[in-house]
Amino acid sequence: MKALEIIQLVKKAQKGDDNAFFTLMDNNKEKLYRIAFSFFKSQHDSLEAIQETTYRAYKSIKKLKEPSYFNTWVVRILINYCISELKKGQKTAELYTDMIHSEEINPAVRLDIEAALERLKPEYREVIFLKYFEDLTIPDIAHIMDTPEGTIKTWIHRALESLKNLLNKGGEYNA
Amino acid sequence: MLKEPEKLLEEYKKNTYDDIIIPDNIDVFIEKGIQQRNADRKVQWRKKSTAIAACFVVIAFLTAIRISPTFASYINDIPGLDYIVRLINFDRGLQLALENDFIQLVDISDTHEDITITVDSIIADESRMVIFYTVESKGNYKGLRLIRAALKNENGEDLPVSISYGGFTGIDFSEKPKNEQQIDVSFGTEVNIPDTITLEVKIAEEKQTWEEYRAEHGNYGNSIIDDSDRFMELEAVWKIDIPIDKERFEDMKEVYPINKAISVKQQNIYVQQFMIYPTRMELDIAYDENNPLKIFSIENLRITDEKGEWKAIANGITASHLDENTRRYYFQSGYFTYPKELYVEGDGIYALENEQLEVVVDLENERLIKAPDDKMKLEDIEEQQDYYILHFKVPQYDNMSHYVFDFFFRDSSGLVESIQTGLSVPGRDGYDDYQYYIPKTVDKHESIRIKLVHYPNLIKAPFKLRIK
Repeated sequence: MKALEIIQLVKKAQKGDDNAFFTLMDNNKEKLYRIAFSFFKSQHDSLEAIQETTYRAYKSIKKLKEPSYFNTWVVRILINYCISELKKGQKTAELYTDMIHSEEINPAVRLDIEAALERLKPEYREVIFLKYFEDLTIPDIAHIMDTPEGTIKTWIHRALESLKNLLNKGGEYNA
Repeated sequence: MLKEPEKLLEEYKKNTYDDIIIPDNIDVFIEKGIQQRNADRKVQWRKKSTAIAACFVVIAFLTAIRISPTFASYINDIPGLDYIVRLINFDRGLQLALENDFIQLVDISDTHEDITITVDSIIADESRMVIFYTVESKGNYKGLRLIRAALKNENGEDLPVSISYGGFTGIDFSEKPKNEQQIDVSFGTEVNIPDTITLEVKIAEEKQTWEEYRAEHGNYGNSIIDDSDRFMELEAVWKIDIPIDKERFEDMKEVYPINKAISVKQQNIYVQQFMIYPTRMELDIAYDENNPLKIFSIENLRITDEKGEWKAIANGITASHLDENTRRYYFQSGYFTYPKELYVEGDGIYALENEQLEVVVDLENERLIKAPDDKMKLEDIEEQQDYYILHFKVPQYDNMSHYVFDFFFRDSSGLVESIQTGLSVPGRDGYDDYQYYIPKTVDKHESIRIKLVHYPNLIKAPFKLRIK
């Protein structure tokens, strides 16, 4: 969707146009779902996250000063929700239930990277997801996390270091 | 050999993350979020409309649930009419009708006071007519509201129909002058459909924004009862003579007499007949008045064929009372799939014993003296200038929305009075919050009795009956 289109839709949604807001969410739903699913590993919890994010975004859409940033803004809302839900301990991230159907090329490796990701600090995990799984740029990630680009780069660097350490421990198991 | 984390991440993305399956019903959750937002701003109404014919009482719900759109190539070729596909998203039967070209183009307008109403097209048969129309403002209007819709025959007489229609809530016509909606008309059994039906519509203009109105009337939270004085009715009456192409739907009707009884825990339920029209399917069910239990509705009542199931119509008119004990339930229509087998299925009944049908409230002491069980709670009685607001909480239940209270109550002397209004707002705690407005003509020292017309008391009893 082009930036101009997004701006127009956001303006309509700010006036209460449900259809316009639906279209904006429709455009982001797959990305939002995948991110939520990475946190909760549960279809039910992820769908609930979609609903809650939609609600919160629509409720505060008038506060969005730069309409062209809608897509990153809504991801931020989702991630804040996911992190706070996990902190509350109400959603248990169940590692291996509700799992996706995919070719398991190297199950041992998959388990390890997943377990390693689970152990990262929340903001490190977030930047990894956004960069490596959603292919977002550093400026976009900085905007989503409301953090300077330099800090984002540092976090990515440190996250990869942590992962390396965690995987090395597991690496003994592999060897 | 140990792989670098970036490589592992890349593999994980390709093998796992990208394969995360997006559920089919994700749109429903987006819609729920939108509705939740709207419920915050505006209360959800249950409109009760009495049809002109004496024997009709119709329950109409105005909730919009959208599921992924299917596209009908025909209507999309006509510029400006693709909105119809969006509007009928929730009704599989109407979608099929559209795909089968079962739609009549009308394109007739009427203009007054700088507002043009155009009936674009209709999907109609003997049972039901859905009118798709556009409202266009060429003036300085901001908020507009449809306040009356009526249908008349060629002699100017009102037709005995039930009508439900959506609104233009939250739309600013100065920003978006052209808006589309639908009017859903249910023809009663006595209706002789004329060759021309005149649609008459009245519109009101917003004089005050929602925020201004709330500020002036005090902050009731969710419980503003009736904001119609926020709008001012415009003088004009918009009239459109819709020609009905009766040949288009002549003989498109199938009737299946059933006349079978189902017994659910000694309650007798008579399934009388089933009718299929292109626009919807109708199932007539009578409840034995000698039943020890009063049955409110059947859980998950649905029609199934050899391929799948047909759900109840969720938006608009969902059922009619043919008489005190007989209901006609409406389902999305499988007409255009030409099913070979048909069944009616249900999972249970919502019912209460006859002695449990009343709720008694002690106004003075703010207590529930009598209720069917402890599922219903009386949270508070709020006193306003002209009325008492009884705040109830009832657990959320069933897939369809129900309003548990009757709109009439009895005071201590037995006199039947009607309430000011009644609302329910779905809460996020698993309960629906009810606000029941009683006019202050009732003495505070009284106790009042309210009849229940639905309740979350479920008796599980799955059944399946063959129709065809």
